[in-house]
Parts: sequence; structure tokens; C-alpha cells
Amino acid sequence: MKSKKTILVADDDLPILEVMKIILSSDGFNVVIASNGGTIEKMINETHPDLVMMDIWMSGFDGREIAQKLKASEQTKKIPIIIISALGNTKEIAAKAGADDFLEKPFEIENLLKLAKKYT
Amino acid sequence: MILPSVLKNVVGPLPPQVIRQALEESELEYKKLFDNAMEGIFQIYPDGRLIKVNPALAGILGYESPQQLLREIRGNEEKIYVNPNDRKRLLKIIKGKGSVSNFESQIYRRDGRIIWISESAIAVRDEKGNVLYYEGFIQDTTEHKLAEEERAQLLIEQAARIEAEQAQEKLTVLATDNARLYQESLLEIERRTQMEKKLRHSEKRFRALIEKSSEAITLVDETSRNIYASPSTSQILGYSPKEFLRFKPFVLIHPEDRKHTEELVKLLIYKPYESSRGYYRLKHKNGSWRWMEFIATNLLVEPSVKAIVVNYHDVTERIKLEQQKDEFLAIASHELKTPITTIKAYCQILQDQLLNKSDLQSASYLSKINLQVGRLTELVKDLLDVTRIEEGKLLFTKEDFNLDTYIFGLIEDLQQTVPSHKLILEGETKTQVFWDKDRISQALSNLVANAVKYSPRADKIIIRLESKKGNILLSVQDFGIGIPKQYKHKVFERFFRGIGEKKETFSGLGLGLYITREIVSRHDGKIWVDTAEGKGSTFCVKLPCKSKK
Repeated sequence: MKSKKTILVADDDLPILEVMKIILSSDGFNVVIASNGGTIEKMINETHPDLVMMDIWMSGFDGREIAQKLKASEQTKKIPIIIISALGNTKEIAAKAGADDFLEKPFEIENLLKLAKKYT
Repeated sequence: MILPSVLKNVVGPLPPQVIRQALEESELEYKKLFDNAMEGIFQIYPDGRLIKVNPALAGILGYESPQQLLREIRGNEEKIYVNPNDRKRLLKIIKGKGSVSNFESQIYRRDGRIIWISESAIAVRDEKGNVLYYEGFIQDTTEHKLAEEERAQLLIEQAARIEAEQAQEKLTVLATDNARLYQESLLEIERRTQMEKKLRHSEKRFRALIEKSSEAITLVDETSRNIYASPSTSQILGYSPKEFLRFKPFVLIHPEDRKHTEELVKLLIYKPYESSRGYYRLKHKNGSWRWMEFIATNLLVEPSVKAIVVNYHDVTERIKLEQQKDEFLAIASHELKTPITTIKAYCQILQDQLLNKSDLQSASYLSKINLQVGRLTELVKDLLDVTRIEEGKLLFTKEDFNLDTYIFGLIEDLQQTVPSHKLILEGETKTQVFWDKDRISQALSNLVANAVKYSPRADKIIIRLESKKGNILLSVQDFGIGIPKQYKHKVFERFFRGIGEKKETFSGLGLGLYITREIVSRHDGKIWVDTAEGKGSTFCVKLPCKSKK
């Protein structure tokens, strides 16, 4: 059996983190969570995720800046990033930040899983 | 003249004593004539010196005797002429032609009186034809001349009098006219004075308006130079009008707004009497940037203005509030969607689990919750869209796609949310379109949702698709209550909600058709409604296949 793919989910809303973990885990992904924008880099270094799914507004941290930083770094630039946000212009924000894809909240579980599979 | 007439009687050879006697007789006769003639007679040498004059001539010139005359004048003959050149002219004529007749000139009498004389003279020659002397007559023509002058004067006076009389007549007429004109002029002057008063008054009023206005006014000439700044400039920008005018044009405008404003002014220069409005940031004397709303009007061709008039006022506070409102709405929408996301996700998880356990009833309850969550999501989205439309910030991401396939899938999805009505799709377009998929889906969903909402007693909705000359015709027909005439034009307005026959109300924020119309117009299309009260409505949308980017 193929080894489990790891997805790092970053969001400052705990209920969302929880439900995303349930959805992705039940579909066979190894899910690590970061409830604070400041811990994302540390988590990446520790867990080497295959995919990062992150929010934009994260209590004092700007998801756009983090995404840009990750895409600029040699170590992390190959990790796909999906921006998941409740903002109306998520698509534009994701494109500007250099993210690979986007998903607008509220989402259909089906679409979340589709994206997770596409990038891992 | 006299001498030859005496001599012409001398014919043939005669004895000397006969000749002498005849000569003596003739001499005597001549002397008699010479001394007693009424006319003045004179004899002069070719050089102009007088030889002799008769008593009549002495009399004409005011001398007692010919002897006195010759004594006093001889050698100074020229001097008696008022104009000495007359004498020279006279001699020249005689020398040239041998005679002169009726030569007129003015001369001084002995007493200094000036008289007019007329002279005639002829050369007297010897047998060989050499000039011996000139002999001539002088007439005093003063009286004649005076009479002539008098007559001329009289004629002139008469003409002048006639003219004066005629003029007087004209004057009388003119005077009447003048009196009338004068009256009219007085009225005109009065009227003008009143007008000037009014003008001054209105000028004062406008000046006061300009100077006391919270709006600043700047006049810009055709080279974009500031030529006037109103006093309120100092309240708005901290600079006195004088200080303000020292700045080069556009220097105080924020660098991000400058190019746009310069272009706008350049375009406006070619459009007399037209106005452009907009916003820009100006640098206050204290260094801060202030938002201004401005309206620029091209009055370059207006002789009393000859400038572009720029009115502007500080809207910084308003812009700040609007930005706060935008931010608030963005945050509110974000915050509302966050819990919805979790609810929706759990609903779907739970539904899957219940279906796995074959608890169909519970699963159907959950699908109802899910549907309502969907409605909630749409409402939140609509609110955000409306504010975006208001600000012109509604975003569109257009792409090429196959319309038939997309609409087919969309209707299928919509049918899931509409159990009460059958959605019937008619026609096809076989067309690739360049539209914003999500927005078109939003528009069609709105139309279908409306059709369902306003036809509670019907059981079907017909959606038609047609391709016509590069345009797509899309219509949604319901068989419901229809729209009363008086509301037909209002249905696309913001917050409008339908009212039923029994004044029953329908749910919703009244935003669906407003947003739909915006989506259609941003695809360069048109939307309209055919409706009959009690029979239903058909909403039609006409869109070009390839809308502008």
C-alpha cells in the first residue's frame, strides 16, 4: 500500500481545523494542523508535508505573505499550496500569492477531497 | 490803336508840307484824345519804365496829375502792384505775344487804398518791326470786382441760407425724433443702471458664494497652469490662494492619482462646456494626504471665464468611512462564512454516515439542513456582491467554455434544490462562450429561484437556450403570479420584492435581480421581462457569445 500523504492544514478557526482533519483523515491522509500562522514554517520543517492548505486571515499572520515566503524558499518552493478562504476574491489572492490553487469557504467536501488528491 | 488809324489816311507820295501838316493834325488829335479819355492810357518802354500817362490814369491811381504820378512812380513801377509778380507776368506776356488783354491785378493807390484794375496793351514798332514802346489802357474794375464778389458772396450766403433753412427743417424733424429717442434713452439708461445694479449684486453674491464656500475653486488655463484659487483653498489645503498659485500644476496631486488626472484634463480641453468628475488626493500644507472629490468644467471658450473651472472639496472622512464600511462588510461576510463552513462540512459528514447506516429519513433531514445552509451562504454572498456592485468592484473572471454542457450540468444541480418544480431545458446553442462561469451560474440560479418563488401553485419552469447571430438568448419562464404593470420596470431595482394578489410577501432580500442585471451588463448583455399578471413571467437574457475581457 502506498505510504500516507501528509497534508498540513493551517487555520486559526479551530472548528474548521477539526472538521477538515476528520474529512481528510477519513480519506486516508495524514493530517497535521497549525492553528497559528507563526508555526507553519516550524511544522513544515518537522513534518515535511506533501501539501499545504492554508487560510489567509490567521490572527496576526497574513497567509499571502507566508505563501510567498514558502514559494521563494529553495526548501519549500516545491510544496503545493492551496489557499482556502472565506474571502470573496480568494481566487485573485491565491494567484497573487503564488499559490497553486484555491478553495472558497464554505466548500463542498467533494471539492476539498478532489483538490487534496490532485496535489498529492 | 489810335496811331495806326491816324496813319492809315496817309497814302501815296505827298508833298512834305502836306505830310507835316497832316502829322501835326494827327498829333494834335491824339493828344486831345489822350488827355480827355475816360480810360487810363499809358506808354512804357520795353524794360517797363513809364514814358507817359494820361490824366485819367493819374486819377485812377489817386494822383493829382500825370506829372505827379511819373515823378513819384517812375523807376519803381513794380511797387504799386499788391503782388509784384503780377507786373513781371504782365511784361512777360507782352514781350512774348506783342500784346495782352484784360490782365487783372490789384494795385495800391497813392492813398494806400487797394483797387482792382484790368490792363490791355500792345507793342508799337518802327518801320523795321523793332519795338519802340508799349501803349495800353487801364480800367478801374474795383466796383465791378466788388459787385462780382458781393454777388458771389450773396450767392454763397443765399445757398447757405437755403441750406440752413433745409437743415432747420431737418432739425425740426430730428428734434422730434430726438425728443423721443431721448426719452427712450433715459429709459434705457435707467434700465441699464438697474441691470448693472443687479449684475453687481449677483456678482457680489457669486463672489460671496465662491469666497465663503467650503468648496475650493481653482481656475486652470489651457496650458494647465493654475490662474486662480479661491479663499477656501486655505481651509482645505492649508495654503493661502497666493501660496497655492505658486505651485506648478498637478504637483500637489498624489503621484498615484496624478497621471490619471493629467489625462483627464488633457481630454477635457477638447470638449467645451463638458465636465469630468473624479477623486484625487492632494497634499495638505501639514504633509498629510487629503481625498478630494472634484468636478472640472471646460469654460475655456466662455469669454468671461476662459479657463477650466475645478471645484473640489475634502471627502477624506467620507472615504475613510467607506473604507471602514468595506472592511466591515468583508470581515462580516468572512466571519459569517466561517461557521457556515463548519456546519456545512459536518452536515455532509453526517449525511454520508447516515446513508451508510441506511437511515434514510435522518439523511433527508440533514439534506434539508444542508439546503438551508446553502441559502444562508448565498445571502451572505449577495450582501457582499451588492456592496461590490455599488463600488464597482464586483470581480469577473471570464473563460472559454461550452455553454450547452455547462447549462445542462447547472440545471441538474439546480433541480436538486428545487423539488417542487420540474426544470425543463429546451434548445441548444452548440457554442463556445467567453463568460464568467460562476457569475453566469449565479444569474441563472437567481432567475430560477425567482421563477420558483413567484409560481407557488405551478409545477414547472421552462429554460430556453438559443443561439442567434453571435448572441445567446436565454430565457426562464414561470407560470406564476406575474408582475403588475406598475412594477415591471422596478423589478431590477435594489431591494425590490414582489407582492402577491393578497398582499402576501415573498422571502428574500430583494437583491437577486439587481445582481443578475449587473452580471448581464458586465457581459455586455441585456435583460428584460415579458409578463402578464396571473399568467406568469418570462425573464429573457441576451448575451454576446464573446464578451469583452
